[in-house]
Amino acid sequence: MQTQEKKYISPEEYLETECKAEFKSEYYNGEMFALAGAGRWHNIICHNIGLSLGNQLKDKPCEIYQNDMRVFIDENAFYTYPDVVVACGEPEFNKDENLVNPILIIEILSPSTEKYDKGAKFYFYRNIKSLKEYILVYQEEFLIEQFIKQSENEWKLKIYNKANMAAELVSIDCQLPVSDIYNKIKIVKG
Amino acid sequence: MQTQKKKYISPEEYLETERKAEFKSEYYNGEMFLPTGASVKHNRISTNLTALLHNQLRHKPCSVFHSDLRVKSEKSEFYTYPDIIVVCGEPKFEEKSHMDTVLNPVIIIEILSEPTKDYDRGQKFEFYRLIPELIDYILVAQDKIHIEHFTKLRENEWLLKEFSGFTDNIQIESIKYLLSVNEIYEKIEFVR
Repeated sequence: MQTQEKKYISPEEYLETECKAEFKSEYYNGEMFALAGAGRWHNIICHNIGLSLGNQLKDKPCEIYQNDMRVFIDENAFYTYPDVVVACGEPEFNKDENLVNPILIIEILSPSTEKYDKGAKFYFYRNIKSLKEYILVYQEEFLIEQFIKQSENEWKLKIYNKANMAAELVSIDCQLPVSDIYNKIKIVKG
Repeated sequence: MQTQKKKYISPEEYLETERKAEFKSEYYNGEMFLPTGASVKHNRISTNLTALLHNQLRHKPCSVFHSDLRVKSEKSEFYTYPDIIVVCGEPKFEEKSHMDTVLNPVIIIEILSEPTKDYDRGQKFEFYRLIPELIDYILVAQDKIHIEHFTKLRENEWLLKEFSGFTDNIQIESIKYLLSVNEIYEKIEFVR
């Protein structure tokens, strides 16, 4: 994430710019942040997750979106493009076509955005009333962190760090095996 | 946190420099990092917590340390100075000859500062989780009433609870203590 400008940008200005822009930016509190392009492993992991969940969700009333679905969080005037989003039942959009009721968000960690995804983003995501699960997938090691909402202000964190483990996605009743996520991935821990 | 040098520094070089240095640095993966200076609020919260925990633990085999005791997990090359730690039983040290790097805290508390808060929430916790004795990891905001409390449930499983009410109480599992949010923020004024 990189700051483009310092002057205050209104959400309307952001959305107008964003419609015409050739690259995606996220928005928070008067500022726009250009999204870094994703690398080879990031792309493969994202595709693997889409494939695995897409198959399991075929006959369920849930939709899965990858990379290009903008999510809006009212409390923080925050617009973001998660790597993978799932909405169940009727997806709800605000007037500018931003999804407002995701049930599951998955972020694939890039070294440049790792701290932000793990810290600030989850902090904002926790304000989404419909959100039941948040998952972080590391690129440089077999490591998945799964946050499952237990009740208001309470989340359980489960860690998966072995190839024979599988995350139980309770919100959408799916299984996400670690070996599926990392199919074709060469782990190069620097 | 700011990088001082780019060349690889070994843990031994870091520790040797650190023991002679006039200011603290943290260490990870061949690099040394300067912690940022603390604010008045940061200090007050730290003092409140240290006093509360100290009082609670006076007659128990646990001790509170703040700011100046280096922590490391045996499984990583990551050295840090948490704002507050609690050790129960005998402290385990990395080197018996230098009793300055402790390996077995049961509680780690970080008071969040703007430049390092994402780091504290994310990467630091990833390293702290490698400490088998750790049961409670607590993040305290200083610009508003907000506390994130992770409690270890079992291997690879933690519970995160958030507190933002003045009258909330936080159950600290490792030392069986009910910590009052009100007392953590005593004498802190918030601009509304």
